[in-house]
Amino acid sequence: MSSLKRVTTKQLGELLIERKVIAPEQLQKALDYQKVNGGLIGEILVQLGFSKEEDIAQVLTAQYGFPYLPLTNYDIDLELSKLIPEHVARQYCLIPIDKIGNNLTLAMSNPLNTQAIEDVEMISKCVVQAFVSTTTDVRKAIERCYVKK
Amino acid sequence: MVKKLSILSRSLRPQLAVAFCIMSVIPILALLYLIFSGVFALNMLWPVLGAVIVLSLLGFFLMKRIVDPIIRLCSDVKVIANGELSRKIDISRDDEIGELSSALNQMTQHIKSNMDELKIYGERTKNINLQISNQVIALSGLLEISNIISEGSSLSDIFDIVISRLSQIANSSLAFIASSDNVSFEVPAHYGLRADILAALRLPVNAYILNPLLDPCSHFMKDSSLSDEKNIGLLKLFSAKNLLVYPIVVQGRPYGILGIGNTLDGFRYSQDDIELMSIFAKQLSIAVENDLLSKKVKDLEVLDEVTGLYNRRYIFTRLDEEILRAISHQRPCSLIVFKISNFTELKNQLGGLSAEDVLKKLAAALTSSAGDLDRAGRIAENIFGIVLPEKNKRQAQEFGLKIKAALEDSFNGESAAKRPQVDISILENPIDGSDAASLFEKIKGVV
Repeated sequence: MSSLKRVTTKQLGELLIERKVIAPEQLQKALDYQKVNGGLIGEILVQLGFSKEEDIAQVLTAQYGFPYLPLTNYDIDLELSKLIPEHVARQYCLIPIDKIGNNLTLAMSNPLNTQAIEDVEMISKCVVQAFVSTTTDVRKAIERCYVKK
Repeated sequence: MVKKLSILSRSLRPQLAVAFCIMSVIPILALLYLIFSGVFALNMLWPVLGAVIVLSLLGFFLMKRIVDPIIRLCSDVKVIANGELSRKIDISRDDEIGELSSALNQMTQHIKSNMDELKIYGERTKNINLQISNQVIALSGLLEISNIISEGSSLSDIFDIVISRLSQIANSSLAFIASSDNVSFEVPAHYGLRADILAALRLPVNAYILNPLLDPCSHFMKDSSLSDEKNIGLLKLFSAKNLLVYPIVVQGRPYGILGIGNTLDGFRYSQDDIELMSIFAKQLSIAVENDLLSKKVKDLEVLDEVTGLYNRRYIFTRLDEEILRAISHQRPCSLIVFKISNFTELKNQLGGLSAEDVLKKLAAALTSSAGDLDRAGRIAENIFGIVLPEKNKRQAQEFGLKIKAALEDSFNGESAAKRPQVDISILENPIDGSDAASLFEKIKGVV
């Protein structure tokens, strides 16, 4: 957690407009959709076809310096998943991918979720380092790790 | 002594004997005396003696003919006087005695017919009294049931009173209320139903016999006035010969049945019985509907009566909603649980009312400490909780410590005996559970 510092108060939507990934009208449509249906703005933008998951991950990487980690071909140590209960991993959309000493590396769709990181640190009693990954990749990894257990 | 010796005090029979002696024996003796003293010639003895004897016997039988019917009449009248009005004086003569006995017979007959009429009137009066008394019982029952419904008594109490009243009308040896859940029947209250009948009523297989009785537009009746063979199965089910069953309809839908029955031969239900049953059934419909509505109202209540905080149901629902929102937004949601560990001691020392004051004060402190989005509520008698949306365990712990300090401040002026000891526990979604039920389940373990 100590390694994570949010250096801007800007919202994800504003960042995506700044980097010209989406247009302001698209953001407005996505916000309207969110008001009615709920959900996360990043996922809604992808769902509405205004951006790609990779675009969002790259914006987060560029803006906050989180390393981007595509999980498609990543070989995850299944033992690590025991550190975090399945429902915690699913709710926060994260997956532990590596542990060196007391440092636990997580792949997350939203590394700005400091509360999730605090919770993982509390559960695992490790210091967390967050990597950015797409929501789809993390969910697939969760299915692989927790179903196989 | 004179009275004892007097012939007038004797009954007719001794008087007849005395009369016989005077009329027969004394003249014979006088005649014999005259003959033997030589006044009459000896050769006249036998004819005169024979004539005297014949005349004496004739006189005797004549007297006897008069006296015997009077004696018989007297004994018959005594029997009649003792109440045996069916006794007939069997003396058929054309003289005054015959007229007397005939007059006595007529008088007896008249008295007997009057007595019979009186007896019939007595029976009718008795029946009317019985009917009035039954109706008074039934009407007072209806009144009592109306009262307890309006007082908001429990449904089971109302059922019990209805059954006790039904058992007193129409010679009922059984009375029952059976509710239906579309598959089988339950019997929440009954009178006189054997265990095997109760078990049979509950069997789903017998629902097909009972289901037609749920028809809201009609009632079922079987007594000696109806020779319907179709419903033998139903009568067998209740082991009854006569049965009167009304449907209980709640909000236009069948709820169950109300019935009475007995095993009397030749019994008929009166119009009053049928009307009373329909009123009882309507009252039960109202009672069941009231119960459903009061349950709905209770379900809609969100505040705790004592503290004015949200109640357990609301906190549970709110927590569930917040957790769903948290899952959707990949956020945490926490629940701080406060337990007054010395609540039993507080109640014992201060009494119920003062202990409630402590609860109210604690509730006020929780309300003032909670944020706009937070929801404080009373989860159990001595357990409170605050739902903290979007706060994880660390944040909730910080918040909990702040509230604990606020609680201590609010009870600072109180004596040690009036100060609650509050234990705090933090539960968080997703760490401690993925829904409100799992977090509530954990409350038992943590407090």
